[in-house]
Amino acid sequence: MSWTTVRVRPSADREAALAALFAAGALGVHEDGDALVTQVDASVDLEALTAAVRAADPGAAVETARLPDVDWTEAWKRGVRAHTVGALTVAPPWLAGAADPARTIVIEPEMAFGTGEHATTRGVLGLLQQVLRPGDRVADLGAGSAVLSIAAAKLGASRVAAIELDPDAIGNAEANVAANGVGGPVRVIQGDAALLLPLVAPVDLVLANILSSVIRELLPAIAAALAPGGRAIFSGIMTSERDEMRAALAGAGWRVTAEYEEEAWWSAAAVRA
Amino acid sequence: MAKKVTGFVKLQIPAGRANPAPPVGTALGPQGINIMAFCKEFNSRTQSQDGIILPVEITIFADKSFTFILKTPPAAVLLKKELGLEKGSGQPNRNKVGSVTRAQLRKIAEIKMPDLNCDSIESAMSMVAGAARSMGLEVAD
Repeated sequence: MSWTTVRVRPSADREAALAALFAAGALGVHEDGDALVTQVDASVDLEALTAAVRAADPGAAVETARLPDVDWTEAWKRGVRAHTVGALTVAPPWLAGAADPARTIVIEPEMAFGTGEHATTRGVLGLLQQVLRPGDRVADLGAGSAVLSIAAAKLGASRVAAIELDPDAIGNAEANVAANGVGGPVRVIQGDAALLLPLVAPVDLVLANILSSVIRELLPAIAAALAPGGRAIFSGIMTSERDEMRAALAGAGWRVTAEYEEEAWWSAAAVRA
Repeated sequence: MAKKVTGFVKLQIPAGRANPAPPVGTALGPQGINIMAFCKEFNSRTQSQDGIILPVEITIFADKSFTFILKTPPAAVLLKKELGLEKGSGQPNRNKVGSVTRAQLRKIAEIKMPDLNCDSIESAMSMVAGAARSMGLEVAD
């Protein structure tokens, strides 16, 4: 398929220029700063399109250029990599291939946070391998794609509640859980962690990769949900917030047992002191 | 989900008709997000408004996850749909292409209200009336 990029810099009447692009056959328009950008295939008459835009908005500047043919249904995948942390690897389906299913978390990158591409996800994956004990009951707060819940199940958790507020993430999380064959232990639950945590308690391990402010608000609920000897892994904390977070944890009766730092992010495992 | 924003893309796409070909693919592809997932989600959320042009703002996070919000169609698009017009006037001062009633202005103002910086329906209606005049519509009192 041969495509041409049409870039319009509207003058007095942006709405009219936009309407003219659609009337001339554009299938969508990208608002790139002040410019209106679209691409049209060879079936669209470029001269007629240019004339229509200029008739609608006489001062508009119109530029056209041939567009290299790229299959974007495949090309976007080049930006997604597999990530290995300790014994675990997070990979998209097309890179999971021959990897050992027991140690590979297959995540379809969609709307939900937790593709493996973020340092906070990797921080929890690293700490999880140090603190999870086989048979643990786990609650994953802000589960996103369910990447951490799936990891917990593969490491031997007996049951995992993947709690997520964002409705856009739920379908992706459920599909990932099923694709990884952990639909037995892992349950995806939509709702507010503060409300749901008491309902899934007691648990042995809480995972909270959220934001430091949200974690601080949830600390009492997390402490109340833990069985004796319970542990938590906190992430989503900037290294610049580390000292403040350490003080908040200590003040609330927690003791940090392990840490992980990558890029600008700090993750910590903690127990009730 | 420590969400750090790494990209922001504004598109206008007909409701229910996003597909990964250009211009959607060309705009979102370089951001490294799952274009098919965006198209499926956009189409399922908008299919009831079939074909009307919808502004959509896509926010891309550091780990290539994303979210998007749908905006209301431009007032001119809603006016044309309401009045069954093909297009507005090339010379709105001289060539009138139709007229719009107060009730129609109110209906469109109510649709647009979430996106307008207005604190009353009356001020939203006067903004819609301005759009109507600039496309060659008479505004009935």
